[in-house]
Amino acid sequence: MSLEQDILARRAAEVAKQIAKRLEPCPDLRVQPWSTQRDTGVAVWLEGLVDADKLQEALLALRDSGGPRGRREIPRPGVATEEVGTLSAAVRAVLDGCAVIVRDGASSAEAWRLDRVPARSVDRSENEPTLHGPQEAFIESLSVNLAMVRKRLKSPRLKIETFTIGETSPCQMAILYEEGVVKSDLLREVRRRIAQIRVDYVADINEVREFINDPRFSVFPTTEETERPDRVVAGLMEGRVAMITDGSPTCLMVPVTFAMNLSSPEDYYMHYSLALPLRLLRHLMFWSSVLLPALYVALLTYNQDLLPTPLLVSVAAQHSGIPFPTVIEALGMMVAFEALREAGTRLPRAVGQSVSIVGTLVIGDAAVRAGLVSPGMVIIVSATGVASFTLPALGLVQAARLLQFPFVMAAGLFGLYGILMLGIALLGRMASLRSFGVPYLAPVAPNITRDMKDVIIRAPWWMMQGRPRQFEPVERDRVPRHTAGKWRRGRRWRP
Amino acid sequence: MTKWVTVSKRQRAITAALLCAALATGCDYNDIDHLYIATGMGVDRQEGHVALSMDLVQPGGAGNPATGGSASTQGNAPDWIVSAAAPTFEDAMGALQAKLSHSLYLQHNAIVLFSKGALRDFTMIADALERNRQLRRSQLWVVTPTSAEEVLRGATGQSEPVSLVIRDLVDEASRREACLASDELHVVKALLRPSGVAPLAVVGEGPDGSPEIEGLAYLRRDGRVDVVDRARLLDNAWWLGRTFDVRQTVAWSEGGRQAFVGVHWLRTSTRLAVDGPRVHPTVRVVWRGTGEVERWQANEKMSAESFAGLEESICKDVKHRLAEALDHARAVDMDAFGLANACAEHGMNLSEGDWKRIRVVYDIEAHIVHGQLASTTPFANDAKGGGD
Repeated sequence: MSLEQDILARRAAEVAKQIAKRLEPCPDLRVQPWSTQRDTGVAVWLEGLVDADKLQEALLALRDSGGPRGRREIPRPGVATEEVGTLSAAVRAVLDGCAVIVRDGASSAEAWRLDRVPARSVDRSENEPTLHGPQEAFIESLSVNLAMVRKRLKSPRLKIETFTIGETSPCQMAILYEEGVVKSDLLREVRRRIAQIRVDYVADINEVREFINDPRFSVFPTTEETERPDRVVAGLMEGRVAMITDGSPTCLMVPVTFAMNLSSPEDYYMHYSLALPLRLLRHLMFWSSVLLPALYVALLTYNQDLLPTPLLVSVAAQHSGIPFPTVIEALGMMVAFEALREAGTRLPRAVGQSVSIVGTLVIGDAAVRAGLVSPGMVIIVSATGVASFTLPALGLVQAARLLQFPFVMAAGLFGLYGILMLGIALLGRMASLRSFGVPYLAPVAPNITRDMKDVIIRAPWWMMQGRPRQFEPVERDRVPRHTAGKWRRGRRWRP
Repeated sequence: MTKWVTVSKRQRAITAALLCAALATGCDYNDIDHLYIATGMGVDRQEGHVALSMDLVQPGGAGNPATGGSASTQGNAPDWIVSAAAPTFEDAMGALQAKLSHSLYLQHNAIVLFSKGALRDFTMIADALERNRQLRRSQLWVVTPTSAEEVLRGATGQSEPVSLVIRDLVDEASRREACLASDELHVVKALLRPSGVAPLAVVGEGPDGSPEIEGLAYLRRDGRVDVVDRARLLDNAWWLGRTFDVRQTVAWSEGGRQAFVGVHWLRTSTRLAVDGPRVHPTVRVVWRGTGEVERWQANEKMSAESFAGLEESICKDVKHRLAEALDHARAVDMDAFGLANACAEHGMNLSEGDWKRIRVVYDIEAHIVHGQLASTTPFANDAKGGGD
């Protein structure tokens, strides 16, 4: 049916019938006639998506008021209305959780937003837990998520633009930014990429991520994924752009750098002196999670001379009687560990924890006793797993999990040379990555000295007056310079 | 687009070059299971043949944390010895490998134990050892007056391979007498200097068969060896550099009677200074030591006067010991203490044997700290009277 033919019929009952025809079989579609002193019509809605009590109240109010009298009808108190001019729009509104009010003889209908979409309440962040700082996390409702950001960022310059993506099942998507801070080119690029998305439906914002990513094929996350409103607000104030879709409890932030993936929100809530060792530890753990099994394989198969003699003797003793070459043993253990981790994630939480413990303790011990793997290998693979758990960004954890396999294979084929070669290639690849125009290894490569105060170290807040230059914010200072100056002078005061 | 293609091509070229580089280096796949890890090598001379004994790690043996087990168990030793003899060093290595089902792994070889007899062919053996790229240059070179194979096989009940025991013994001893740190680099460097003599640690079998330090050996470039026993080790160690935490008993004449004083040297150092004209140089032996008197076996309590006398006796004793060591070196015709080296450093190249005629003077300063030990223990009074 073309748009021209899609004009609402004059008879309300006929319109309701056509809506039902489009949706049938649809047992949860409800059609209820209504009448006032002047008008008659029908209300069409989907049960479960509309708050029935509110609808009945609104219909009663409609009857008392005399009914809609044209396009400029004053909305009923507490009910947001939207004009619907075509049959397709009416169907979309019904699917969107609106009650469509059709009047006999009118050329358009009204969509009353009385949705009661099932949603959970705001809860603690499960994927990014912290000891200090705010604890609440996004939920699957766009409006609630936007409200959570608004609650924290009470700035008139916070702008929210909405888009609709999804051809078959339209989905609301919002981009958030701080006007006057964000670079206009970045904003334009975000809009362009979102506009180019062609997809039938969007279940989660992670689907959007793959459409807007800079590199088409990369294991490294070039968008930041978070479920914490406080992190989003911090990003917006740095001149970044956030994206939220309806139905997803996660927010995407762009651009992002490698170093940002290794910083946790908690770094900013605890004393700055503690952030340094923790960040150093995370950097060390990231490279450990990528390289530890590979180094072990290389040392045991090619470069034994690098081990101290007592350690070599001990390792040789552990490895005697193992029927597999070290590289196969390592790959087997890593696959087993990944399987256990996957099982622990997929199973219900209580069972999942049991599987992890059983897998680690019992199966690992049994495998060692059976002479299938050496104790050293169990320790190395477990240590690798633990190292990856310290990473705050899930995307980086997944990257490390993937990367350790090629590194082990390279170590098995070429020893330390293999690791070196692959390491150089990896660094080259990382250096070539961009996240919405920002080099992935910034501010290290290219070197932006000013931004180094929030990479390995986290400088005290009073030293971080400027916004990160890597994002090229329009307003470079967080607070006007003269204000900062006064504050610094105040610090010298002694009683 | 063109830029992207160029970058892509460059990346591919770099990747290919790196792969070729890796392959060109020759990646020797040697899984740890397929190696016999050698921790020590014994070199003997048997009827004109070079006899090599390899101390190989037995992974399932005692002392390995992974396997546990007791060293006393028969056949459960942490190591095992394989021997082979052949006319040349290389042939002997080949014969050894022929007895082993896996590759011989020499990168962890910690010591080379020469028998005194084997050092007669030192030039040939040293050449072979230097040429072997698998051997580390930091391995210890140690001498035994008996048979290297016997020393390696004799040790039982050790929790770690006997070679590592010997290495630890020498390391510990060299912490006190630095001259015992006879790793290959130092030895070769010493042999190539004008004196052409290098000190090596001497290891022998103790009463229970386990290895022990027996003294010091001087190895000359031509393979001649002179062994200094443990009684004279300290005198020679003083000549050869620093010592730490060593003890000396000094005879002390007091009031017409002979007494003995125990001196604990916290640290001593010796350096050679060359004075005088180029034709007749004088080597000044500058000896400095800081020590404490641990025990004296004399009747009287220590006074300032007797303390000065004691210090004088100690200095005399040190001088006497140094002079004796030098006399011995002259007697065996070994410039063990590097007099020729000292002269060469001052631009005086001596002819062979000239070092024996060099005048040597001693500049000895002993700084004695009165030890608290003897005067504060509950047995101090008895100890003081013990000299009668």
